[in-house]
Amino acid sequence: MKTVSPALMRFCGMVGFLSFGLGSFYLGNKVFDLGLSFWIISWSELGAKEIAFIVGAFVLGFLGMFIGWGIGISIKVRSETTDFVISSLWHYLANGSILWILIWIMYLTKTIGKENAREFAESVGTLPWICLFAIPTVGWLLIAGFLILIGLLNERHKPMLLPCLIPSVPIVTGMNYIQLHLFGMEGNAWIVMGIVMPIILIPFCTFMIMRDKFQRWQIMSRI
Amino acid sequence: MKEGTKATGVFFLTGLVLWISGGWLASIVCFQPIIPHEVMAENKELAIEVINAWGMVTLKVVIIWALTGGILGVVISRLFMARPGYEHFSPTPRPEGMPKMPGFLSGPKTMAEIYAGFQGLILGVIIGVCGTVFILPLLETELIVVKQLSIRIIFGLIATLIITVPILPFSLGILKKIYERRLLR
Repeated sequence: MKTVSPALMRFCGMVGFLSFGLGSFYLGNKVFDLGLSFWIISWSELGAKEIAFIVGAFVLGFLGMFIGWGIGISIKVRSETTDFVISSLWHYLANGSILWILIWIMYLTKTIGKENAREFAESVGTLPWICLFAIPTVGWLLIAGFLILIGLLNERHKPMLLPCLIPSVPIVTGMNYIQLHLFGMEGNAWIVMGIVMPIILIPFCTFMIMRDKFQRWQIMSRI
Repeated sequence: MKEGTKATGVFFLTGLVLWISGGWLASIVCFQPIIPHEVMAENKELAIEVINAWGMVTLKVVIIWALTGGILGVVISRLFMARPGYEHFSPTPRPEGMPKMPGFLSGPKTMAEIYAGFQGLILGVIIGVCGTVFILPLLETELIVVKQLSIRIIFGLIATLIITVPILPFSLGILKKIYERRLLR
């Protein structure tokens, strides 16, 4: 217990939530033949059975999350450096993905409009939606790994925004360019999003990593 | 003037001067006239027009590169100052019998110089390659166009390596000279 890594615990929790939640959604959909699409769920068209099924999948997901937390707590991370690396990778992955999805949903809602959302979601196919999760996962992990590798993310001192932005902005801009073209859209929004996302994310992750470090210290000092 | 401001200014100017040469080289290596040389040799007026257009492109590239180099210099100074105290006092390991070279050629003197120099170099290369790949095409005119991508990437890598490596040792050398002169006064 003295060597718990809060970030690793959260990561295992996320894996548990996704595997139990999505797994039960997928299996239940097949077994009960509900015909629900993961990407297009219109709440107004759902019956009591479908709503109960989705709530059940969420409950199972939370159960999986608790199991994941338990597994994460049981893994010993003795080194402070390893804990810092896990924490950095986790926060860039988790917060980066949330920020990515939020900004893209805002952008899509603004450009397409709520009334055309369903038609648009069906017309682009599954690939852009899978990439909406896959691109930030790979991209932010790559950015965090690179920043750690060249020593700009370091457990000894707070990272400086400008040096961290220099490698991040080109990568995020490229990620946004790919996502925009996967949706079959044109325009220069990818440049703006590529600059804005790291400016928001890097200070936020710095704060979250510091909070994790403090939590680890709290746990270790109490036990 | 505060000491920190002066040091930052020296780093800014060193980066600016070094990257001016890089910008000038980039405008020569990465651009080409759209009109063939034979046509220009026959039509002098057209040749002058092309040269003028190239000159304007060179000026724009030099200004962009100079400002970028200056900012990179400031970033390198911040990275150097942010290194932990013990690294500034840890001399770099040197093999016995290695001949001593004068000034900048002797290489980094402390561990802080090695780490900050390495980080600055990586950031410089990223900026240089992004500049030659993405910024240069924006400066194309009707008469002057950019060369192929592979040439620009190779140039961006090599030129930036050459002009970024000396920013830290040159700036430290200048600062050392400034403080030595002040002590002798």
